Amino acid sequence: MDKHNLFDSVLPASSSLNDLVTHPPMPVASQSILNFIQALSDTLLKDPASRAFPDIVALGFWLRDGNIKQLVKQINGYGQQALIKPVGTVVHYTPNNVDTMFLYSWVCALLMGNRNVVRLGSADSPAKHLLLACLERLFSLPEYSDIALRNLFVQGAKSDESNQALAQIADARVLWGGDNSVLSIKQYAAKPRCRDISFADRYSAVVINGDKLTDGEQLNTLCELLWQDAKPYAQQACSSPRVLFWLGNKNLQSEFARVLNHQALSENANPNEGISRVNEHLVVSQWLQCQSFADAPLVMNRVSVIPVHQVNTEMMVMHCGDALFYLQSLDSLDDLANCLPARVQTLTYWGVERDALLKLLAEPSIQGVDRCVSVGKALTFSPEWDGYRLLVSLSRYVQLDWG
Amino acid sequence: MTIAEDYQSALNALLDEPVYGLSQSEKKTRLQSVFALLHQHHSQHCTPYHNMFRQPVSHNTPLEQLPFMAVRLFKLFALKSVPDNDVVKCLMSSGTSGQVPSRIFLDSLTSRMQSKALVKILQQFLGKQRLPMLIIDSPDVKGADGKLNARAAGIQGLAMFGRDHTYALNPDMTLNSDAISAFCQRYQDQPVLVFGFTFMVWQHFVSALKTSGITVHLPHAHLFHSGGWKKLEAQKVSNETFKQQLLAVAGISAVTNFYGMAEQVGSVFMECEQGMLHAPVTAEVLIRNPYDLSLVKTGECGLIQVLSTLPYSYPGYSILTEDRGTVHGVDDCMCGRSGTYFTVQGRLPKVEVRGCSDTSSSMGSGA
Repeated sequence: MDKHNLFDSVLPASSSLNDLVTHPPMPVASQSILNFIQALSDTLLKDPASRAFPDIVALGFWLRDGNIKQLVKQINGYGQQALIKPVGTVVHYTPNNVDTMFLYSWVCALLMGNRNVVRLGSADSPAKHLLLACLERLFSLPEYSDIALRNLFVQGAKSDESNQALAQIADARVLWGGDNSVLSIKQYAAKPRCRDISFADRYSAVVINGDKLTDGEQLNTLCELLWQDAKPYAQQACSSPRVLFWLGNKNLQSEFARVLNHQALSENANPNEGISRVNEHLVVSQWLQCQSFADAPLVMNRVSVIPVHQVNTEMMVMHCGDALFYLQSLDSLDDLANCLPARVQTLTYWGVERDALLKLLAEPSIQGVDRCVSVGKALTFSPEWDGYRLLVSLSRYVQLDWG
Repeated sequence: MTIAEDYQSALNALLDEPVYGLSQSEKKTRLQSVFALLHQHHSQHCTPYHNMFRQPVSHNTPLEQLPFMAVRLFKLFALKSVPDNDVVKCLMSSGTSGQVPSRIFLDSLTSRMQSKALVKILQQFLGKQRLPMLIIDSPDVKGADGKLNARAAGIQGLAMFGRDHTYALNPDMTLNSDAISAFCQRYQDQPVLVFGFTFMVWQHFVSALKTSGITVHLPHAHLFHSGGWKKLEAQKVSNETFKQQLLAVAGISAVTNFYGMAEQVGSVFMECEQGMLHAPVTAEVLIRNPYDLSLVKTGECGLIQVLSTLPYSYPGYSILTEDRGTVHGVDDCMCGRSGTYFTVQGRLPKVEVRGCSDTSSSMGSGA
């Protein structure tokens, strides 16, 4: 398993898959792991280059000591009648363009003491470049050498051989990238007890209570929060809402579309970017209208809002993201029950009574929704993600019964 | 009279007008009546069209308020406005790099009108006499499956202006030097017609001639070419270079580019001596802001919307293309032709497939 044969490049440059597995995993949440995460947080937040990337800043904040300590507390809670240990080697398959998402799952695996191999997507981006440069810097410092020896970032794993090698060393695999990616990676046989955490194709929705929307102030707040959820990664993250369910009074729908567009325009750093966007949205909109799936768009500019009659699988496949919203009107919250198939990942809400929502989500017939958070928090990462509890899945639970 | 009859008589009357002679205000009035009839026809006979465009359109509807269809819909749906039995031809666009091609269904009326309109336009540049014709393509382009690809359709459209059709390329796209030499020998002292797609002419004629050492001398030839500059832009070949090289390797000094598309055959925009593309009497162009699809001012670059009076068997009379262009003026081009004139600035950039659901599946190959 020579790194030169298997990958185009590896980080740390002196390391290899062979070297990696010679080092035992580390204790869960050991001090040296916590120090490293703290240093990573500092580096990301202090680097002036980070400022251009809101998702890197968000990552830096998430990695701060306070937040990580909460996680450690959580981990300690798991260990009441048990020993919590690393699972071994975790291989992460990262998506091409959602640059920072994979770092969260990597940090979760690192925190649990695991050895990690992160297989990076082929696409290059400034954000990814920045992240890797920070990691390279930290890995080169003597105080983090124990981390550097156990974590490997590889790029350009093209051949069957390199993918087989990755599959064979994995005790757990974290598969980002949707249905096709997940299935194609799973073709490479892993150990029988390997745990696969598969992030399949999902989409997310927001439910807005039109009966509770009364004034422009509320509309502004709603649109500001909603845009926080949809703007990053050009709406390509599974957690960003693509469907808007609108309950009750529809009077403010047009005004809502206008305000949302205005909000997006006001945050537009570079008005010349996205020259193809509206044409893509026009194609989707006309594709929908042709088949009587939708009415004419309420707005088609920086964002597009298209009133659809009933969300279906086909139209979700056709959804091209980049600030495109399907708007479906519902008479009441009960009608939402039929709109949450297994593919729905995150449901955010605005103006909906929590108890009523909870009652609905508890319905055994509803297969979808693995996260329900208030609007504005769709992309806030937690180790409970997409229906998985990462800290649990990426560790071993040694049951103890001394009795 | 039925809508079909009204439409045919209005279109025929338009075709009797000079190609570049009507004033813009007169032309607009005439076009609006034809488009109102086409809207009615497609609304009644093409359900997807009806579903998409419910707004009323009358002969008073200004051109910029006519509905327009994204060109890609012809790849996504089989759109037609005549019964299946009436379809005489199905035109397929040259779907680039493995894409689904557009499918354009023609009945005999639309097919006939396309030819008629094309003849009227090209006669302005070629005269009425049929000239010996050198085609910069291979005879195999026609294909055997009965479905007409856009390249073959383009050649077929132009072929009616020529005689003694000679294909300059072998099936493997190398120069057919015997055919070319024979053609040159026979016709070098008289006017001839040369036609090819821009990229084919550059790659397989100009560049190939340069490396092969074959001499071609056709000083009285007039080359017509079309099909876009995308591939040539990538090689940094400008219109000027293109013309210079043609003169250098083949002695051809008369070169005319034109803009048109498989979705609106018969509606071609010819380049004048000033380098401007001109809307003929049967067609119009509008430029829209790519960020909100509103109309832009003269001189501003945006998405090209093409309007053609010819599409009757399929709902393609008003199409938003994925090309970028600029209208430079109306009725006042230095060349003397009336109507709208414009230039093309290239294609809209392809949208990168991004995000969660496009990732490592490519196994790092980036595909």
